[in-house]
Parts: sequence; C-alpha cells; structure tokens
Amino acid sequence: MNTNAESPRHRIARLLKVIVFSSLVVGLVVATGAVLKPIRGGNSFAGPWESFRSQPRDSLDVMVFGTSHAFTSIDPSEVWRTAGVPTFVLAGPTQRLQTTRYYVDEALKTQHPDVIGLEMVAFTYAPDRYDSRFHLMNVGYMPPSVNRFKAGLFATPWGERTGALVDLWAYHDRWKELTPGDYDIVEKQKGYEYLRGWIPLVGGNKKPKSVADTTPREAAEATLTPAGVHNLKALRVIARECDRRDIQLVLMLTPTSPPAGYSPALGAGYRALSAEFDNVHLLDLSQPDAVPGLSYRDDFFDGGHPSHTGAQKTSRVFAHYLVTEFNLADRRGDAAYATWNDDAKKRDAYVAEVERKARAKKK
Amino acid sequence: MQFASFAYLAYLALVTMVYFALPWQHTRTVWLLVASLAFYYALSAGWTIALVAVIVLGYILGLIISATPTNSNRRRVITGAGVTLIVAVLAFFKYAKLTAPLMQLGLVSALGDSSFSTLHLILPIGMSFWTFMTISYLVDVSKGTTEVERNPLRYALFVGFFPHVTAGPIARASQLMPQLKTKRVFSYELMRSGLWLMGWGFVKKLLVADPLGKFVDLVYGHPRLFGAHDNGLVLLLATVGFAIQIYCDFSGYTDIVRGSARILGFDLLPNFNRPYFSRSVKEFWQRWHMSLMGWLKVYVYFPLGGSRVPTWRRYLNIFIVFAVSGIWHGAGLSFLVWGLLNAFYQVFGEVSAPLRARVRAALRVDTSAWWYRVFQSLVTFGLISIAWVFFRAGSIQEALYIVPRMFMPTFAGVSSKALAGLKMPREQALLTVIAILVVFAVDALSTRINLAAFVRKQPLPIRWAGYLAAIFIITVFGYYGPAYDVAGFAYFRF
Repeated sequence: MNTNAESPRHRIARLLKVIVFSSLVVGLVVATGAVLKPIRGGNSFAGPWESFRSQPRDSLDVMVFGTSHAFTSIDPSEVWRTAGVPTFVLAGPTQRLQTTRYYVDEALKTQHPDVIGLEMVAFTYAPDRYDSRFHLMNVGYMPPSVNRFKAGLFATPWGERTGALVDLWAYHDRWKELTPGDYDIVEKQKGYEYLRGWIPLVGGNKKPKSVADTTPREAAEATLTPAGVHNLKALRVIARECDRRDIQLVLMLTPTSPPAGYSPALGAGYRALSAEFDNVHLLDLSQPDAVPGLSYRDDFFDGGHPSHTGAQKTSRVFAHYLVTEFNLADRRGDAAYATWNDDAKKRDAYVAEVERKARAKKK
Repeated sequence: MQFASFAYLAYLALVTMVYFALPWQHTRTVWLLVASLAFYYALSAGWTIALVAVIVLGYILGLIISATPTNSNRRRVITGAGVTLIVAVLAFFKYAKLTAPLMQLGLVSALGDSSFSTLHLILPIGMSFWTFMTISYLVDVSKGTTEVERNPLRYALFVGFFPHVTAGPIARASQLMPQLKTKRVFSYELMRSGLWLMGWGFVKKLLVADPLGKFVDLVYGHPRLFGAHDNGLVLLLATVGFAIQIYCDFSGYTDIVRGSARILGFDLLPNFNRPYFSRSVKEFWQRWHMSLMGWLKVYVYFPLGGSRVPTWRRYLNIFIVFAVSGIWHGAGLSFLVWGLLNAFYQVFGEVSAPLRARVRAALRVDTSAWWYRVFQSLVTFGLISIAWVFFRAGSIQEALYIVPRMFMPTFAGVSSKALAGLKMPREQALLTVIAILVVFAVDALSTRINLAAFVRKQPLPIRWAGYLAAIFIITVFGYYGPAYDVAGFAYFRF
C-alpha cells in the first residue's frame, strides 16, 4: 500500500491543494464560529473588548482590570465627571489573575495608561476554582491575538482549551437559536461603547438586610494563603509589566458586603509585591468607611456587588484617590475628549432605561 | 484526549508530519511509540504504567518462549503460564468490583489494619484489548506461526500503537508486525482515503451515537419511570436506539482509528461489515466486532475442537465462546446472560433449521425475494436488540423488567414528567433521525456503490464543496463540546 512514485511537480501541486483546502477549512471553522458566537455587546459580561478597541490609541489615563467586582463598581463616566480622568474597565466575571495578565498585555498594545487598578478578589481564588462558562467568555471574547491564544493555552485547564481557542467548539450547538443579527459578524459584538466596560446593576436582591451582615470579617493575619502563593506568580507578571512601562499599579478592592472580606488577601499580596516593586500601591475600598455614604442596605445589588448607585459613590472616591495620589490631569477641557461628556449623558439615559425596565418587571 | 476532538486532529497532524519527516525507520518507530504512550497518558495518566508493564511482560515472555524447543512440553507450560498470568492481570482489574471485598479481607488479615478501606480499582482504558493482543502474540510465537519480536521498541509499538490501544481493532502480530518493520511512504491517496474514513466515523459518532446516547441513558437510567403501567413504547424506542447507538459508536470509533492509521500508512483490521443487514444471528456475529470474534475463534473455539467434534460438543463450544465474550465485556452477570443468549440464538437457529425449511417449503416462500431478505434482517435485528437489553440494562432484574414491556408499546400511562424528561429538542431529534437514515442507506448501498470512488470522480470544485459541506454539518450539528457532556467511546471501558 505504499508504492507511490510521483513527479516533483505533481507533489508540489498536491501540496498546494492541501494548503488551499486546509485554509478553506480553517476559514469555514472561524466564520461559522463567528456566526454562532452569542452577541455580547459592551453592556454584557466579558463584552467590553469591542468598546475598548473603539477607544482612540493612547487616550486612557487609567485602566481597571479584575473580576465582576471591578466592572460593577467602577463607572468611568462618574470618574470623568468627578475628576476628568479618562478611565476604562476591562474585566470579566470570576476572571482569574492568570487570564487577567493576558488582558493587561493585550490592552497595553494600544493604550499607555498612567495607572492600572487591579481589583484583587481573584487573588483569593484557589487553583481549582474555575468556572467554565465564564472562562470561555473571558478568553473567547478577547480579540483574535497572540494573547488570546496564550490565555486559551496557558490560563485554561487542559480539557477546556479547545473551547477557549475555537469558538465553533464552544458555541456550535447554538444553531437552533440563531437570529438575523448573529450573521453580522463585523458589527454584532459592538454597542454600548459609552459605558466603557462598566455594567450597571439595577434592582437585585439588595443584600445584606441586617446590620449584623455588614460587620467586617475578622481580619486574619495577612499572610499569603496557598491560593495567594498560587496567584502571586501571575500578579508578579502584571507588576513587572507595569514597572517596565512606568505604570503605577494599584492593588485594590471595591466595596463588598460583608466589608473587608478580602482585605487580608489584599494586604498579603501588597506586601509580597511592594518588597519587589516601587510602583505598587494599595487601595482598600471594601473597608466599612472607605466610601462615604455607601449604604450596605440600599447600594448593593447582591451580597458581593454594589448596585449602580453604589458604583457611583465608589467611583467618586476612586476618582479623588487618582487625582490626590497620582496628580492625574483633568481632561475635561481637552478637545480630544469632547465625546466623553456626551457619553456620560448616554450612560445616564441607559441607566434610566434599565431602571425603568426593572421597575416595570417588578410591577 | 477524545478521538472526536480538534485536539486529536491536531495531535494526529503533528504525529503524521513528524513521522514522515523522519528519515530513518528506527527513529520513526521511536517517534510513534513516544506519541502512542503520550496519547495513552493523556487518556489514562497513571495507568500508562499498567500498559508498559503488560508490554514488558509480553516481550520477555515472547523471548523466553522462543528460546524453548519447538513443540516441547516446556514451551507449552511456559506459554500456558504466561497466558494465565496475563489473564489474571486482566481479571484482577476487570473484576475488581467483585473481588475487592475479598482482597480487602485478605489485606486486613495480613496487615492487621481494620481501617483499610475498600480497594477502588478501575479498569485501565483498553486493557481488554491489549491483553488479548499480548495473548495472541504469545500463542502465535509458541506455535511458530509468528516470529518472536526481538526489538523491544517495535514490540511495544505493536501493542501500544495509539490508534488501536484504547479499543482495538485487536491486531494480530502476523498482520501488523510486518507493517511496522517496513518503511511507510507518505501517500496522498492514503491520506485522502484515511480522512474520508475518519469523517464517516465522526458522522456516526457525533451525529448519531452521542445524541441517541443521551436518550438511551435517560430511559435506561430510569426504566421503571418510562415503563410504568406495563407500557413500553419508550423502552422499545430506547432499546432500538441503543442497538443503533452502539453500532454507530463502535464502528464510528473503528473508522476514526483505521482512518488515522491509514494516514500513517498502516492497515488495521476492519471490525464491522454492515452487521444489521445480516440475515441470521450467526451471520451477525461474523460481521460484528470482527477482530474480537476472529480472536475468540482462533484462540478459544479452535482449541476447544471447533466444528470437528460431535454436534452436541460443537453447540457447547459455541456457548463457551459466547460466555467468554460476555465475561470479556464486563463483570456483571447480565453480560454473561447477553453472551449466552446470543449463543442460544445460534444453536436454536441450527437445531430449528430443518423445521423452518419445511415451513418455508409448505408456504412456498421464495427465499431469494427481497422482502424475505428484509424480513430475515428485521428478525435478526429484533433478536440482537433483545439481547442488547441485557448488555445495557446493568442488571438482570432491570433487563427482565424491560424486555416484556417492550412488547406492550403504548404511550398510555407514561407520566408526562417522564416524557418531558426526554428533553431532546425537536430539531435535534429530526436531525438524528435523518443521520440514522443516511448511515443505514450508505451501509445498504455500499455493496453496490463505492461512495468514496464516486466522489473522487467528481470535478474538484464539486468535490471540495461536498467535503466542506460535510465538515460544516459535522462541526455544527455534531453532539460535542462544552454544551454536552462529551461522551467517550463505549468500548473504552472494556
């Protein structure tokens, strides 16, 4: 079965055919995956990448990375209104630091912020804490790039890698529920750019309900836990990259309830990094009095995340911190940022609409 | 790593490219062996040690046997001891669930440690297959029908070759070893043919076996819910579904691994020859899992005397062969009953043959008529499906609950909760039915039309459009990925 004498010309022709056919197959897989991939605009979990790509190059002074605590708590429009600091939140639900480091690398290809805020709840994630659905979103919605490939390969458990790398694998079963909008693979992931990565949470369970629930957890001795030791490697990579690019890195927590639940981990991470790097800072907004006027009864969507009102209050404090600590310029009079005021109005209209829908749903 | 995955395709592409890029046969053997062990490790991790142990054992025993005088008692004793040892290893793992309490008792007595917990042993993937290959190798070396393999790497590759290490086909040394010794030359035609075969395997696995498996698992997981009030249409459908599922699963797997081997230039034994078109149970077993049945014929049936014995003894031999087959498939009593039932069908078929011939003559049945052939195939399918109930049900009690109810097919009395639990979307169900029809139509026509040759004759644009359409259908409509619990191939557990 192995007698096979072909002329060199014949072989080259066949090799070309194999290459062309393989390219067609890859094209088919990519295009089909793009059609089947669910629409996730800038107001969806893990959906801000298209919004981010629409920002003018080197236009952001502050970027915030992390988990859902980041994208629900920091409202760039509020930061803009308070201090005129152009900010963007590029975070994903339950996003592990091993993924975030590739988010940072990818973002820094087009932006050079003065400050990066790294929301640190993921520093407490144990190695086996992994949410397949969220991880596929966090990695799968990154723009096609080497960093997405690396995140799919190195930040993803073995059995999940195909889904993280190939959209068709992850979403092929959606063929039963496709809508006309799904076929517009160029435009379908766009929209809500003015939110700049913030997702307002409206309504919700409004936990906690009792004052007792707001008592800070007893802070354990701030030493690295096994999870912290595991995550320190990725944290160090981010810090090194920031150091190399002369970016100030703020390790931060946003308000949580109960308050200060993650503070020991934040402290331990800060201590470990600050011994190595000069550019690392600490901001713990999860402490009970860190955000003036924050009501643990009315400003939370659920036990962990502030509602849009809580985000507003938190963002103001964050804006003041940025100006005070890093002396960032107020860009509100800068013509290059003329659209930001309009975007803030669009954001208000969007929040009002979401509130109206939430009220209607409640009735 | 699943065979039905992009990861496997990438792995196969890498193995193939490196394999044909290596200039020397020896390095190619080493490369394939490393790739095979890595593949097995990815599937079974720690149990790779069991595979390596059996390979080492088989290799050493082969050398020892070949060093003894031909036809000597010493050779026979060593061969017998070696085969017994291999069978004991297989039995130890295969029937661990049955033997665990005894082993625990022994260990507690020996070690005096009453806290010793029950042993939790699982069967290493494919062990039944590579132990049978080892046994056949040792017996063939002993008989002198196969030369002993002195190159340990080549022998290891013969047993652990990645396309067949998980679930066969059970290769014979006389068939595969010569291929491993000669240098394979890359062939565009073989690659195309191999990919074609793999594609067909993916169709069977992803479009038929796995969606059907979801339905079958649900019904067989709760047979009393679906068979309530002695009504069993759902049980009947699930049983027919399982008959189709196991065929498409195992033959799909076989197509994928034979296609993979073909790309590398190797020809593995076929396992299926349109079994559900058989006109008798005897014929079915000549066309189903052919590498196992061939093995049982040569290494069990013939040594028992085969057909050259009195009739009663021949019938007994058939029962023994199918009992071995049943036990080989699993530790439960239901597997033994499944094997014995298939033996009974064949013996009864032979015993009743004269009577049936008289009935046919009296009724003036034209046995060559198409409708009669269809009738025979349907009866055979029905008998085989009844036997599959014992194979699938997990216990004899459950099987005996299911079988009679299958013959009372009405929906009345089946709870709406049970029906809602089927949960297969209408589009998916329709797609699965179409895929089943396509698979059986292709099987039916395969003796008259060579589909692969027909496609090859078409102009390139049409051919490529067809290929791309097939890839589109498999990748979009196939049952795989994170939305489903990706099913392994059924025969991996044997």
